[in-house]
Amino acid sequence: MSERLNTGSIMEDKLLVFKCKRGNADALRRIYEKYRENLLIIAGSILHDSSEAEDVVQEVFAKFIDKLGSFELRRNLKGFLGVCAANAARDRNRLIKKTVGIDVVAETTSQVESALDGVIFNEQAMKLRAAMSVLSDEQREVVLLHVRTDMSLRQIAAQLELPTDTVKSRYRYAMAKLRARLLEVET
Amino acid sequence: MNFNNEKELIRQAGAQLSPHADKRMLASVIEKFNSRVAPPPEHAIGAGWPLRIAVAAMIIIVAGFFVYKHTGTVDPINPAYGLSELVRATSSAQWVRMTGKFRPLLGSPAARIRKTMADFQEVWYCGNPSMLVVKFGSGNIQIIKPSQTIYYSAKENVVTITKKPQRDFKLYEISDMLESMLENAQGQGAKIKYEQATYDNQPAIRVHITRTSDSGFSDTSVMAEKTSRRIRATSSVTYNDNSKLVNFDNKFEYPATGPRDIFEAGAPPDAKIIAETDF
Repeated sequence: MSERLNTGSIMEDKLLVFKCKRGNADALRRIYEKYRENLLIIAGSILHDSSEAEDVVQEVFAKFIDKLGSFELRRNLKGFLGVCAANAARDRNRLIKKTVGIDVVAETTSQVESALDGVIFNEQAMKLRAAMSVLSDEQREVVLLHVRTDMSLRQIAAQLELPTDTVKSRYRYAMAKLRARLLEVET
Repeated sequence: MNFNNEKELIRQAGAQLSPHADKRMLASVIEKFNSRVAPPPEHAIGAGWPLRIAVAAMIIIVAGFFVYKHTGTVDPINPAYGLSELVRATSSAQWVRMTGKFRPLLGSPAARIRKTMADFQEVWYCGNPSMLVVKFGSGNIQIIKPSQTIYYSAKENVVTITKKPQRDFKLYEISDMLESMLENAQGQGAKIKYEQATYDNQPAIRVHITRTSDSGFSDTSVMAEKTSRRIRATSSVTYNDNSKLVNFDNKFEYPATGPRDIFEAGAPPDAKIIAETDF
């Protein structure tokens, strides 16, 4: 199911990108302020690590700046940045798991999160992150992009270069698992 | 919890950086942006009042005029075409149109100015109301007024109107610019020599200005004898290290009227208009 796009916001984004391309730092500041929270949620929900999520957001903006010269905003900046964040978070997850090992990561992560105050998640976000732990990285990615960036499942499939049916089934199974998990917590 | 509640939970999930982390990250992002993103050359005009006037007006337009104040020595054989006459004649012009070539020279300093100037194709100056119209080879157009900038992007076919605070900005009158440049030129000492000539089958005066110091303007101009206005100029600017910054080869016209808005300046009627205020 496709979410209705916020036309006003998209028009503003086009203008902001236009200004950024002309060297206007204030426009970039506005983009940052507008989307940092969304990117933190996406990265944080995939990574389970606040400091890593912070790094991902910074990485997303760095890549955006690098691509600015040839960047053409066709549809949805929120979605574009969201996909970048999801990709970066997924890559980091793989790297961490590969180099450290999952068990060690889980332990280290909890230690790091308690020690850092870089990212502050609200109550819903903490609940969501706990519930999302039952999902695979791929499922989390699809759910977050669909709900948090207003992208349709078809658009997500195109961005991730996956068959639409694959994305649809990931989303369907993910939501079912999420629902079951939340019911389990409530009872 | 039903399906919508799950989605609502995902939507309501919020996160924020601590103020310190937020400030640090934003500073890092902006620093990268400022170090990596070079604005298109023409946008240098649109950045920062009154610097843009210093760049756009003083260099583009005034450079064409102020050479006459590189004096110190005016050839006494023809004092009728002295500087005061040129100032008077130029100041009376409501519109000035400058076309021609502005050739940046390799190996000279002020690379940013070179880039800015390279794409200029046509410049209009209006004394009242005060405005500067710059047309670029790319098709882009910029109009600078005391209270707003209007920019047409040919690639995007978009006109962006940016309202500006009026503080710190003054669009100089031509006579002001001349006077200013005259003062600046004092002491640079240039020899001026006049000779009778014809231009477009009309009586004219050819003016040779030769710099006598290591830096400054060199110029050969043609003044219409009837109006005392400069109508053609080839000139160059030389830096202290003896490298040349630019060569000019421009024509000057003084029409009764000129482009009063971005569409008269050449933007197509179907261009999309975006209005904004300066951040």
